[in-house]
Formats: sequence, structure tokens, C-alpha cells
Amino acid sequence: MVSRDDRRAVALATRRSRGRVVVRRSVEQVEPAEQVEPVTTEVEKAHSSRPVRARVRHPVPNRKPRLRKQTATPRGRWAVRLLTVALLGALAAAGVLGRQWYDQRQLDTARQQALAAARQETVDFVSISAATIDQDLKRIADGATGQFHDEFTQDMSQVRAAVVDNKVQSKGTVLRAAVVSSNAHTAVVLVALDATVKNTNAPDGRLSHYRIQVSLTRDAGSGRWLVSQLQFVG
Amino acid sequence: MRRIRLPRTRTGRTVAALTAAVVLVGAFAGFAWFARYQAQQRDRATRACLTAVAPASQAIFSYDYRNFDASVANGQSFVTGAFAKEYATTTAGLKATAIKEQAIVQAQVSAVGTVDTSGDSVDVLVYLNQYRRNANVTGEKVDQDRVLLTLVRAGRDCKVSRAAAI
Repeated sequence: MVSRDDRRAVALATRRSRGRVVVRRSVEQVEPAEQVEPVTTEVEKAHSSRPVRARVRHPVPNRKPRLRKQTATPRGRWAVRLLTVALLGALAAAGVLGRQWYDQRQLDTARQQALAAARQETVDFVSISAATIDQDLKRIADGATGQFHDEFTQDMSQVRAAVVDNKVQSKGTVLRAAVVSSNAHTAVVLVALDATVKNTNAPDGRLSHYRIQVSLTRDAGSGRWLVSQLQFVG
Repeated sequence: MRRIRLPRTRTGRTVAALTAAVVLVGAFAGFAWFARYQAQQRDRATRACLTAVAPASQAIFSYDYRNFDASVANGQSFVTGAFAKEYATTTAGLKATAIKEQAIVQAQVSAVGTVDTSGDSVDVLVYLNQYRRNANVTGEKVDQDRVLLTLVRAGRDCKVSRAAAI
């Protein structure tokens, strides 16, 4: 009959052998170690006076231990596949939507830059003083391009003479600026301005109201928005 | 402090990393979609309101002493909110003078631009010409105005909720 201690010993031995990371061959393939003591049974116990040992050591093969390969469960494999597909879908969606968002932001930025350039150029255009005429004219020419630049530089000497002769002193203020249309390269902007103009005929100053529309082009080299056309709206 | 338990197996770690990546990339995609959606809504509202600017401006800023009430009723159909009451009050006070001076005012829009778009409202700058004729004026006189209008969605239409000359 097998005692409780024997069953426990066998159970411990079995569990231990399962839990070890070494892969054993059959008992016949390995040479028993000297310190190993065999499992004793009730029968042997009857023929021997040696005590039952709870801790049993099995022979360890003389080979390098190898880690057991951790195999993924089917559930884990499916989770990885699904998540990979989901990640690819999310990447594709993020790419498309991110690009649209970026383009929209670029348009908004271009719009704001065009608006700021239109405000600056128009306020420069109506703010001229005989004392600083050369700087004023240069500032206007620097913010111009195309047709407006050509026309303005052509008439610059006449404008200069008229401003100096009449002792003009004009100071403008932008009331509102509004975008008619815009894209990444061109824009049309309305600018409503008031300017106080002093000259020999009106030494105390006279308030002028302006309704200006400007066309702007983005300079490919510098990225600056320049006014290509300026007109007073009738 | 609670410790974060990391998965012990390779598959567990892969699943965790993929989940984090999906969440992050998905969050970015959602953000980009929402930003784009808002911009599209804004553009749609702006376009819808810009088409209403010219007829609304002409109706609101025009009148004819011969059919003054009809002119006002036409203008009233383009205004909303507190400005509707203001418009009614102003035109009521103007009626007697308009009839007395035989005033005819015809408004025409020269140019329109968008100042700002926020939520459901659009601010626009309007260059408006008012051609005036009355018993005190020989021929026709033109006023070149700069008007700032605020338009809001009212059902399927855009209506003027504020108007100010600048």
C-alpha cells in the first residue's frame, strides 16, 4: 500500500520535473549522478530500513540548459493581427486627415499673412510726410510687386516733388481689413482706412476716408506677401 | 502609489505596444478630422452668408417714399434679433421725412470681404454706394459708405444681426 508520504513525494517529484527549464531525455539516456537518490516505495521500504525521502533529485543531463520557447496563445495571435490591421488603418486615416488639416492650416496662415501685408502696405501708402519722404517712398516700393511696383516707381519722382512742395503730412489708420478671396499664392483684400492729411491748403488737417482694394502675391523666393495692385473702390 | 504591471510575455508586450500605438495614431486622426470638419463648417457658413450680403444690404439700405412700407417690409425680411427692432424703430422715424422730401435711396454693393468668422456668425466689410434723390437735391447724389455687417444663421438663411457704418 502506498502511504500518504509516498504520494506526496511522487507528486513533488513530478511537479518539480515539470517546472524545471531543462529538457530531459529519458532516464536511460542520462548518466545518473552520484548524489541522486532513488524514490523509495512501500515495497522497498519493507525490504529496507532506509527512510522515505520527501525531496527527490532527478538526474540532470550533462548539457546546456535551453529556455523553453514561449509560444503565443491563439487569442494572443489574433489580438496582434487585429491590432496590426487597426494600426495600419489608423495610420492611413491619420495620413490623409493630417494632410488635409495641414493644408487647411497653411491656407489660414497664408490668409492671415496676406491680411497683415495688405494692412501694412495700405497704411504705408497713405502715411507720407515731406520730412521723411524718401524713407516713406522706399517702404511703399519694398512692399510692392508687379504692376503696382512698376507704376509706383515710375511716378515716384513726381509724388516726391508734390509731397515736398505742398508740405504734405499724412497719417493713416486702418479701420477694418477683410478678405475677398485667398489661396496659398494670391489674395484680394479690402482695407478701410482713415487718414488725417495736412498740407499747405489744409494746415489744420483734413480727415479722408478711403475704400481700398489690394491684390497680393506671395513672393516665391522670400515668402513675403507683396501688393501687385492697389485701387480705390468707387 | 500604484505600480503599473507590465505584461510578462512577448505577445503581451506586443499587444500593449500596438494598443498604445493605435490609440495615439487614432487620437491624432480624430483631432485632424475634427479640425478639418470645423474649418469646413466655417467655410460653408461664410459662403452661405456672403451670398446673402448683397441682397440684404440693398434691401436694408434702400427705400422709396412711394412705397415706403413695402421697402421696409423687404428690408425687415433680411434682419434678425435686436437689430430687427432697431431697424423697425429707425425706419418708422424716417417715414415722415422720406415722404415729405420725396426721398428715394437705392443702395448698391461695390465690394464685400470677410473680416472674421466665428461659430455661426460672420463679420463682413461692405463697400456700399447709396444713390440718393430727393426734393432738396438736384439730380442724384452718391454716398460711398463702408459698412460692417454681422450675419448669423437663421434657419436655412443668413440674416443681418448688426450693422454699423465705419
